[in-house]
Amino acid sequence: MTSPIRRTRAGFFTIILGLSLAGILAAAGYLWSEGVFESEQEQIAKLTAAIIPDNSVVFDRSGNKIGEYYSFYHIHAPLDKIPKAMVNSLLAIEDRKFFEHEGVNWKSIGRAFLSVATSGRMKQGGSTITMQLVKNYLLTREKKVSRKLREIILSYYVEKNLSKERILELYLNTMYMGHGAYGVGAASRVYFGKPVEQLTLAECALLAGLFQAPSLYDPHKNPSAAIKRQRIVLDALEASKLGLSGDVAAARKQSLEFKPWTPVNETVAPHFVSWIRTEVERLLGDDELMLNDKGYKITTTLDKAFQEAANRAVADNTAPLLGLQEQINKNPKRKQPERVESALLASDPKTGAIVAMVGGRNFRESQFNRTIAARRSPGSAFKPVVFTLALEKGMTWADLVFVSPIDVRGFRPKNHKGDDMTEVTLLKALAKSMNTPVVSLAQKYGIKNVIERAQSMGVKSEMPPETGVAIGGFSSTMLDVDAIYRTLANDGTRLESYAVLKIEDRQGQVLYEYKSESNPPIQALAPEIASLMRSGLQAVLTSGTGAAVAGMGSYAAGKTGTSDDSRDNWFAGFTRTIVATTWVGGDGNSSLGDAASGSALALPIWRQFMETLVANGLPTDPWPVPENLTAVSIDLDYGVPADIGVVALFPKGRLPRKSQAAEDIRALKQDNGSYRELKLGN
Amino acid sequence: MLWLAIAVGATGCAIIGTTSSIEIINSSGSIEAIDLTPRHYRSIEHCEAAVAKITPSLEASLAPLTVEQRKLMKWPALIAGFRIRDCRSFKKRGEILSVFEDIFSAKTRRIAFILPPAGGSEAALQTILDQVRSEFRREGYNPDNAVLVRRVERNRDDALKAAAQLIHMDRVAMIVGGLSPEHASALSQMADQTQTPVLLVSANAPLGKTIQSMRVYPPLKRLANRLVDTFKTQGVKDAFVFYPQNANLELFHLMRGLSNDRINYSERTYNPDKPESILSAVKSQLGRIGSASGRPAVLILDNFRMVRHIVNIIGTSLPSTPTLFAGNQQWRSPALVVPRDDLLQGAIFVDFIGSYQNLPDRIETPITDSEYFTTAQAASRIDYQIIGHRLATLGVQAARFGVNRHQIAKRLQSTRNSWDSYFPKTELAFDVQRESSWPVFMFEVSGETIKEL
Repeated sequence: MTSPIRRTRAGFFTIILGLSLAGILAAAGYLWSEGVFESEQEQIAKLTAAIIPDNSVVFDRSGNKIGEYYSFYHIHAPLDKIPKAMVNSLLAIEDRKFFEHEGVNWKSIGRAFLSVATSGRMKQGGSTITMQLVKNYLLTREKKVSRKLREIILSYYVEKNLSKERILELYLNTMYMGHGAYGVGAASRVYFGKPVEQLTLAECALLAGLFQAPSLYDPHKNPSAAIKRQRIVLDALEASKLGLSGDVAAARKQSLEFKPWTPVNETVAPHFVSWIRTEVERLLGDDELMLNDKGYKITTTLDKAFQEAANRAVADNTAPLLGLQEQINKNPKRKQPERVESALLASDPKTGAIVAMVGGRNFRESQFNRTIAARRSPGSAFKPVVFTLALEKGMTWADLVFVSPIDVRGFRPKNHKGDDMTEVTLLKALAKSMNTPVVSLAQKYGIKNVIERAQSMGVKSEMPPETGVAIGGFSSTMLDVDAIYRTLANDGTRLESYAVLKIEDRQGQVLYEYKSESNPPIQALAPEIASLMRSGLQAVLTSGTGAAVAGMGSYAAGKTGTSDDSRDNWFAGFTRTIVATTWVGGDGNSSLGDAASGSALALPIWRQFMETLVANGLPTDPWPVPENLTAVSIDLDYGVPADIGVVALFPKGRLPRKSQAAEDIRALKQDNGSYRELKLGN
Repeated sequence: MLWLAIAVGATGCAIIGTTSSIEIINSSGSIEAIDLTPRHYRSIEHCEAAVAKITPSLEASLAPLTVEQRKLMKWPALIAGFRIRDCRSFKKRGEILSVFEDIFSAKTRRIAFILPPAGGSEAALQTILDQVRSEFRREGYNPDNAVLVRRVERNRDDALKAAAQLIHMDRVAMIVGGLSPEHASALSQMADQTQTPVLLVSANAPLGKTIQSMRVYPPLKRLANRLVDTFKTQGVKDAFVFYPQNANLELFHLMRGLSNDRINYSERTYNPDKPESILSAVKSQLGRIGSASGRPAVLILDNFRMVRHIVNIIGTSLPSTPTLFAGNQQWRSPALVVPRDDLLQGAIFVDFIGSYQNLPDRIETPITDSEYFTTAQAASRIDYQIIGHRLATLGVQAARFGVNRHQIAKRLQSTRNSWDSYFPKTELAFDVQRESSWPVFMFEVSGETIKEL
């Protein structure tokens, strides 16, 4: 027998339920009158035609993923790639009757309304996976009965138009799973650092538990809650009639390892990946191309191993920069704090392909890409351009150059160590990076010709027709400097630099592919001049400002660069197979002081980078001596042949020889400048 | 037999001797010639005039000697004992004549050098001495006997004393010196007082009043003249002069004197060890060089190295100004022209040496690629060797004359250089200003060499 109270309650609930149904009918009528149902097909089409978002992914030249473009972090996982354990765990905890209902589980709905009726609030969702998908995809998140009614109706329609598998796939790939990840593919990466296919049952259960409240159960933020939730999922799985897809007991015991997740964009080549986006837009001719979530595959020229070596080289040499930065910022007169930065750019001289790019020492702190966007004075790193002109005009490395004090309309270049009035061989002027000989040579051959030569070697930045250009007194990019050295490394032949090899859409259609025919080689210098110049740059390493890497002089060549007032510190160098340029400077263009002179800051980065590559098998073959040139060891000061001297290349017809001119200079220096000076009888 | 002609002059008058007469500078400063043939000398009046004027000079020349030194000579005492009245005695007149003859003859082959103490230009002096000794030896004279060297402090009294000893006691035929103003002054005085030929190795020390003092030094005046002539020919109206501190400016001073105000000179000096100083000196003239009327000339009195630096500065600053760069022998080096400098093309410089292949065979000259260049070490050595060569040939020639000492200067100044292969053969050994004749050459920078103009 039922008690009067129970009868009273049952009657009450019957009335409530009746009223609710009447309400639903009224609401349906209202929706009908509003024409809602007329637009359902339109809404459903959104889902049926839905393309599951997928990140556009950037790969290095070997197919290693180095970056992704996305609005929300997705990794598309087709249903057949998703472990059964994942699917079952999801169904067990979210919608055990998924394959039985037609989009709506009326019992659950009933429970939900009952909950509303008793508590006045919608405690239980009662939503099926289909309804959650509809809510997530087609509706707003407002908690209104009308929205719920619409969800029910749309879910019904979805079930009519989409297969259960497709609905599952959409759900598993689009639902937010915390930590910026959407879908199990992304979540698998974010929490476990591996592809979804490799997830264990325990891991699948944990991910399945996140759908309900991703932030609450975030394993990184709240691992104990996540584990607790995982246990619930496993229990539900065990209690369900779904296949277990594994040993639940073992899964309970499995210790989960949550891997800290750093987006690949920030780990391998962040500045490069960021830049590639604009490169893709440029190549596809669409400035407004939204690469995010398009699922493009972009294969680049970057070499991940080179890039990692570059990252390490920059990171390992950051400490001195921070010290310098601190020192600069101690100046109480500074209005804004200085940020001392570094960058590295490496390319393949034979193709022009960019193989490594570090746009700054910390991408999170500064996304500014100094390799392509910073406009800095190349300083002495530009000088080889002038020297190629001198060599072309017939000068040899043994020729003496007179270093006179120069004042060109107020421009008064100085040399290090006060060598403002001496005479040196062309080779020493290069090796010791002296300014005034270069300015003199530029004056002699014409600034216009210097600029044209630089342009032919690949400098794209504007160069004012002023004397200071000869020693790098203009704003350039690292790409400009890279182009100069790449041309030298490639026997005087210039190729445009490039970074994108192929762009494919998510269907595999090739939208762009690099063709070498579209990058025809341009002979900027005669191969002989390039070889002569390269031998001079080898002397920079063996006997000049690059002596810190003298040991590399047999297979590498390069040049230091310090801009006016030591605001920039460069090293640009190359082997037969790679060109690398490193830069250090203040973003605020502050003087770095004496610390930036010569080879103090940029060269160590270059050195570490190259040493790593060599240790990893970079070829160290010396350059062959061209047939029409001869290697001769000369005295660096006087240019005469010397057994213990500096080796450089000479045209066979202009070999250095014992020079009376050089001997006279030597004698004059030793005699303190006295020469045929008759002072008798004074 | 010595015939003297004596003219009355002021106290400390000079004696200019010839075989037949002597010219005396009188009290008014002009030269007065007196015929002193034997016939005249036999005259008591002439004898009295000679004694009255000669003895004070000779006594003055003896003054630096000590009493002991004087005692070693017979004629100082005699001179001291001469009285004008002695001329009244025929016998005494004979003694006087004998003493004078002895004093002014000194037919020795000795050449003496009065040099400052070791230091300073020692290497140059040694080069000169070595060359003289070498050439004396080749001529058959024992240089140990024929070449006397006295080292004397740079003061006049010491130099006078040394000269007196050499003249009166060592009986040298001529003295070389004058390497300091004090020495030069002392030697010129002694030349005038004792009729001893003196060869001053000095650019600008004043010669004595008599013909006995002569200058043996590279021909600055001729060099200056050649440059000035060229400037005028090239239409130069403004010349800008650059030189290092402590430079020998004699050439420049001579040029200015020779220009007769037709060329304006503007000079700047610099510290050769300080590039800023050089830049500053040159910069201060750039505006004027660039705006000069006519073709501007830049005279650089410094070595080839500094020339290139200064030309660099000017050339890069004023690339379109047709500047005529000019200089002296210090320019001459392959390092001036190798490597070629376009800015220097057409630049000129003067030198007292032409082709190194044409030097006297007694001067060893290293062979180089060009006849116009030699090694840096040899170049400076050769300059002094040529001076030594000139002194040696003059000394040897003086000995060959076989004349009395007081006659040597006159003979040298009236003879041509036929006995010296290097010096202009058709020219007199000394010009009217008693400057030794030297060849003068002008060179022009042409490509990576120089050519003689």
